[in-house]
Amino acid sequence: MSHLGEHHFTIIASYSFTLLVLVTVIAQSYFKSRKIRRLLEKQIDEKK
Amino acid sequence: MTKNSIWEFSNPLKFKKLAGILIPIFGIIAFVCVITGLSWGFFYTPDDYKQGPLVKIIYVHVPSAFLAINIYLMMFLASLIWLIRRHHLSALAAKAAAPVGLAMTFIAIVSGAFWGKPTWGTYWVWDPRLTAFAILTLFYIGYIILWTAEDEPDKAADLTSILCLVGSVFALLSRYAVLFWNQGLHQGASLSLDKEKNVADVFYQPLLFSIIGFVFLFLFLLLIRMRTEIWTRQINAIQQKLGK
Amino acid sequence: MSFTANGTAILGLVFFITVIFVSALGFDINSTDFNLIGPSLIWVTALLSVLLSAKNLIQDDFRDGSLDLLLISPIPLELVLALKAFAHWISISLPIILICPVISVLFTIPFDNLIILIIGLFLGTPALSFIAILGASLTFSLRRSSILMPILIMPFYIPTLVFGVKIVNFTENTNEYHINGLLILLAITLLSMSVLPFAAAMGVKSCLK
Repeated sequence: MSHLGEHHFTIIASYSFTLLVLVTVIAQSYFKSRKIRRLLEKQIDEKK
Repeated sequence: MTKNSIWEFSNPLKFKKLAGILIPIFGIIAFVCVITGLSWGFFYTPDDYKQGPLVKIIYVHVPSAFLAINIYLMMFLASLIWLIRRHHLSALAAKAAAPVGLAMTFIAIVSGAFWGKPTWGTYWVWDPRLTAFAILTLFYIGYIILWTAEDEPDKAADLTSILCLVGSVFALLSRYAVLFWNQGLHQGASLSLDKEKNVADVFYQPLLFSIIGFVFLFLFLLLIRMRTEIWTRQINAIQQKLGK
Repeated sequence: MSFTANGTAILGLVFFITVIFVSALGFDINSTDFNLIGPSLIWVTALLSVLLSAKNLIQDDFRDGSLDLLLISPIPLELVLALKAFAHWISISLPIILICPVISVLFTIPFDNLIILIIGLFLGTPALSFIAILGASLTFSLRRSSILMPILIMPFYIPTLVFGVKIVNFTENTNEYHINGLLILLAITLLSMSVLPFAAAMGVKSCLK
């Protein structure tokens, strides 16, 4: 197929977008989790 | 019961312990499966004779579409359980799942659009399936926004659960409405995006890895986010105690 | 029920006519499809009229305290909300339906299409009001409810809108097509009327605990 190169670009673009979205969600979930955990530990220390 | 009830720690404690164990396990499984599925699919499968290598987009499109729908289904069930049995974890599960579901709809739509461009020439077509996913995106966004609009957790859980339950009915109706809109009442789906059903075995195995990987990824994220929510409520409970 | 329909009805109608007229100017008069936008514009504007006039359905009663009274009254809350939705339909959608023949002149809608349009509006717009009352019940106690409610509720309008519009411009020639479409509109409306008052009541009670 003469358009082979173009199609490969499309696939890579969609894979990249997917990974981008996934990484964003994972990062947001993870960093928020860390932040809240630290906050909680701080609160528990204050309470004592 | 006072409006600002202190969080009962019994169930969530057990959950937190379980989550602590499962999260790393799920994370590893997810990582392995997704990477395997995607690389195998991309590098080691032959090109489809009709669509060229383009069909390999199914390795992200199918899992994300599958999850986008099933996550909403899970939210429906979780909302139902909250309204009937008032398990806080249930409401939290729905809240935690929604952003992941939204991300899945984005992936599904964009990958669908990329698949469509060489086939139809444009990035967007008002294909019943793409349109239905766009509508699902709207339902997800509305749900997430409603959670942020109310501070009191039980009330927010109630409102969002009602929205999700009624929304599910209308989302389903919309699916058929869009089909009607695009093609009239009695024509079957005719566009090529449904080809996944006909993919040969050689494509099927990496797809399995990919789907399983995405599912575990969802579970991984769900547990992390639920745990974060529980911690948040613990913080609020402590602050209220301190405030008194 | 101290629901003054008259003031709202006139305002709603004026809103409808104004928006239709101004929107029509946004389309290309020289395009051959100009007249075809008529039914779509009518439906969408009807949607907006219902949506934008509904936000005070519950909020007013909430603000002046009569909502609490309604909870205590012997009439079930579900019925009260259903009646509110119904009254809203009468005051907003019915005038729109009645003025439709006049508006249809702007777009030279053929008589047959007009009949389908009007019947469709009649069968489908009650659903819009009932969905609106659900939206009001979920948002009346929240900040920025006036922008929030349309965001939440618009997607719910998609089935009614699609079926209402699609059956008007004749592309299929069978009567069955139109009747099926109208039946579906009726089904959506009946579903909304039977289920949504309960959901709305749940929402109201949750906010008032």
